[in-house]
Amino acid sequence: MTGHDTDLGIRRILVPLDASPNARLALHEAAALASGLRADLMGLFVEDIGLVRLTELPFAQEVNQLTASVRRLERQQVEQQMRMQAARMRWELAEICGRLRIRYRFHVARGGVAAQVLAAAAEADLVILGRCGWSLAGERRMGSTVRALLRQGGGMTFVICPEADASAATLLIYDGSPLSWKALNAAVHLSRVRATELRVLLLVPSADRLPSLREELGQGLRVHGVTAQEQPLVAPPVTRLVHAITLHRGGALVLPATGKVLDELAVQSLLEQVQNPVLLVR
Amino acid sequence: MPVQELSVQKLYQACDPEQLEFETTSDLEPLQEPLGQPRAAAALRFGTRIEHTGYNIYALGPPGTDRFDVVRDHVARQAASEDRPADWCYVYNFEQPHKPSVLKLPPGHGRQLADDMGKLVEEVRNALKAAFESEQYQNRAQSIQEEFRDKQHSALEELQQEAKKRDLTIHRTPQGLVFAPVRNGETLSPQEFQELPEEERKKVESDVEELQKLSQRMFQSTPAWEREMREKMRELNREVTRYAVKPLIDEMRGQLAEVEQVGQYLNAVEEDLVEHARELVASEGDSRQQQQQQQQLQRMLQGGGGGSGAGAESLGQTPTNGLRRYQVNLIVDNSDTQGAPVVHEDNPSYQNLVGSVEHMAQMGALITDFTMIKAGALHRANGGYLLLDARKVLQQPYAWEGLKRALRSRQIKIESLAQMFSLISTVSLEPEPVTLDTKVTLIGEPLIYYLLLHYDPEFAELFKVAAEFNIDMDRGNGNQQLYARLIGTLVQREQLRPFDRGAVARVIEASARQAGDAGKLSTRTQVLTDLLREADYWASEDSQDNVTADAVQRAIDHWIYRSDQIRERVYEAIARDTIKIDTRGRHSGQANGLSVLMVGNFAFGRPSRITCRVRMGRGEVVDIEREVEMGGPIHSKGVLILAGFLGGRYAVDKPLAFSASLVFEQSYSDVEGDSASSAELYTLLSAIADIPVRQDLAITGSVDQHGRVQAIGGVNEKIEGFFDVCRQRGLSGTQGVLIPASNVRHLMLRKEVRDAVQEGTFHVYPVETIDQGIELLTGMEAGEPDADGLFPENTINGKVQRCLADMANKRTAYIAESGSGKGTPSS
Repeated sequence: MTGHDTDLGIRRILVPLDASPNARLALHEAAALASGLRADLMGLFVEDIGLVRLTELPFAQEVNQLTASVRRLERQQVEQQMRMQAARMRWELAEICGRLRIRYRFHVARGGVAAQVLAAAAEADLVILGRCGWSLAGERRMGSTVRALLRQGGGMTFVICPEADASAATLLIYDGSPLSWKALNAAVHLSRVRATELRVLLLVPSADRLPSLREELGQGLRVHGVTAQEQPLVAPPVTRLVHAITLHRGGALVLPATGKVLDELAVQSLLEQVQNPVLLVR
Repeated sequence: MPVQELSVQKLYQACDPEQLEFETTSDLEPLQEPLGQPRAAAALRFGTRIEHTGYNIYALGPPGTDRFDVVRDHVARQAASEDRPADWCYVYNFEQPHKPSVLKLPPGHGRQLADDMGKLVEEVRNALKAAFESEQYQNRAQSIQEEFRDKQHSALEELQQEAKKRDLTIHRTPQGLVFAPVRNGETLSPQEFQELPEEERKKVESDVEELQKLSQRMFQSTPAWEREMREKMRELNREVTRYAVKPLIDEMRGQLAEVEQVGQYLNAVEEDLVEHARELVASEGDSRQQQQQQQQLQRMLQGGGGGSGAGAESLGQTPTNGLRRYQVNLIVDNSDTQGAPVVHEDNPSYQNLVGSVEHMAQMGALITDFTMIKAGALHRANGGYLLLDARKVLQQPYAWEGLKRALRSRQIKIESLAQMFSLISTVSLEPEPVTLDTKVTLIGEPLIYYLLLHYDPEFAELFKVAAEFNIDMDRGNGNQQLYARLIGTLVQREQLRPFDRGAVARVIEASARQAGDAGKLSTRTQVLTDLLREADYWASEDSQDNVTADAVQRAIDHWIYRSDQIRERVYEAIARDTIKIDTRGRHSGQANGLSVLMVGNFAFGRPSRITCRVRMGRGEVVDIEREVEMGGPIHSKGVLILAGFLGGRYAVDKPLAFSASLVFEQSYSDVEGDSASSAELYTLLSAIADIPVRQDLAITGSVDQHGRVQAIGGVNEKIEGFFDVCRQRGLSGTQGVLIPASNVRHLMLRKEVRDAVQEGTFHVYPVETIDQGIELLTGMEAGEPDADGLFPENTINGKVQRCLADMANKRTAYIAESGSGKGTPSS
């Protein structure tokens, strides 16, 4: 683990902007990270083609969530609303990037939301988005776009959670897997940008592996010139891991997409259960 | 009977040092009471002790009488024997936040309450933070929130299940939900939908309608669920807060149990804490909570889902000031006061008197709260005494009105001037008025007192006690000794060298001169103190341990030297004959009058040449000064009296047929006063009878219509003024001054004048009548009238009488001639 590069290699950050409150949170987080990492910011607004098509159905009616009233869903109205949302997000992106002196781009695409985000993510080193957008899933569950990105995305993904405590410690899951060093690098950068302390959950398949993993982690931390509290967990089931994460309040969680202790399925299960912001490292 | 010149003993009332019963002022007991102000002292005693409304005091006296120090010392003595008054605090009004409540507490309790509340805030902050961050609280809060979310999710799940059963999917829009048919996991396009059998299309439409109704019901239930959750959260917060806070407040209740108002206030604090603790803790810097609230608000505003945060229930009511609202603004702290307070407000502006509400700029807006209420002098003096300079109060905009309103209503109501005059209509604080019980003493000049009395009807109601300061006191052996003690007191107060007896005697003499009366002593202690300081300086210059009479004289001489540049210029002009003053020989229709000029605090006498020309006329005496509006009314009155004198003495049965014009030659400024009226009369008589008068004599004194010479002011300066002019040219031995005999008691002439009189080179004549004066001036007998009112021929009066008769006869003849067509009357 010695001698590895501390540059995270993040040059472009994609932030999908659907004008939802979570998207705005993601924008602020992305801007802070882009500023800290000297990366460019790419804003993407997707005009949901599915919603546009709906308007052509003869019975397309919208039930208003605030007033519980029902009214006809008009294509012109939907498109106009989308244009307004896109314009607003463009303005907000420009404003925050101007303030933090970040280079940025803003792009409007039309199509399926998940597909468009996945396509744009291919050009980015990191995607930052809210846990759910306008999805019906509710804040506790991940939206469909996030789900698709976590499963099919190729780069790092940072999922923002509205209930997160920005001051809480950044939490790294470290298991010595090939992606772990990258996760450590990402966690150090993230804790610096968010000005939080760093804590590490050391995951080992058996207790005898703990000393060597601890040594390895110590070297990595020294390379970055940081210290961190460690908590070892021996072959924890997902539920125990969730509990350990919950005890650390709502700090950002950094973990490799697949590792020695948690396989991809376990990781997906973990992501569904925790309510923290999650940076999935690939 | 000819007038006898005054002996040198009459010119100066010396103070014999041998009569003073001490060696230096160090031997003297300091005075405790003001000297020479028995009337003011009695008024102050009465005014400070009487307890009825409106018995405030106006201490009036001319500047320099030490009136402020006298009032302050008296009031301080009185205040020291009185009880300490209450402390006053402003606290948050939980029912009407814009009307801060006032608490009246026993002295010392205000600070205790403020300190205790400060500690309470700190402890509450910690206790609440601990309580709200505890796992137990978090679990219960989470459980309540989960309950709400579960309801939402269950409803949503149910909706999604129902949709699934009917092969429908739910699309989320920014404002709500839309239902659409799906086949094989994909939303049907319009074409695909149209291709469906009609029956199926109808079923889809019917299913969509049904689900829309279901979702409507769900959305309609959401506000009720939210209300229920908020109420549960509120109840939880109340419970947790009461548990954390009650013991702390109970402890304070025990410490301040004797004050009922405090008990009520603490009850309100407890209730408010219980009601708002959650938001208060959040507003105190729990960024996480703040963030959540903002997010909640954002979501609510955008219609993006129901609020579920713990603090979301009362965003609209969350105070911005947090725990600051439990602070105590102690505006009057009498914990260290001895007796009743004595407050002197040197800058009695409206705000400084009645207090003010300050503001603070925050994000471009001006904000305020009860902690920014500032006490005024009336607050600080409440229960005691307030000393104010009357002139300053009247000079400050609306300060007088504010003071009167407070005294009248016996309340201090803090109100900005802008509010008072409705210049602004923004919402600001209206602090609860403070009950006022203070004795106000205004200190000022008599003129201001009388103007207020005349023009302000409320003044007499509010300031019933006038403490009038005298500018002088009787001189006499007893009082001289007391005056010596006053000097000793001032010497001690100013930390000067001791004054020996000779110095004290010289100071007493200077004080008599200052009073302008040999039988009086000046009570203008400010001038006296200046003289003492300066004498001390000259003694230090001579390295003397004690101040001697020489040092006092040097102080007087140097003060005169510093002040008399103008005098020197005037005398120089006279010496060069630029200003013509004859001090030798005789002239008809010309005499030397004397006037006093004031330059700052320095007064000096100046001779003026008064001339008169006479011609035929209708008996009027023309005052040229008045004609050109340079003569004041008193001067004009003096001149008109001359015509009365002439008519009464010389022309009882004949008309006065002359016209005379009188003028102060080379006078380029206003002339006021009647002290030159006797000189004008002598000039007039000289001009009428064409008899020259002596120019080596100067004259001062007013005259009445019977020819009696009356007292004037500034007699010393006038005599010295003519003496200086004569001395510049060399004393002839005959020169001197005619003064009213009634002014002899005022004489305190300088040593040079006294020496000249002693040597017989200068003379001072006390004159009682015009006849005495004219005899001195002309060397002729004045003359007494016979039974027919005719004066002997070879007397002044006889000559005047005949000249006037001649003029009357000529005028009659002239009128007769012109009446027969031979001419036109001249006047």
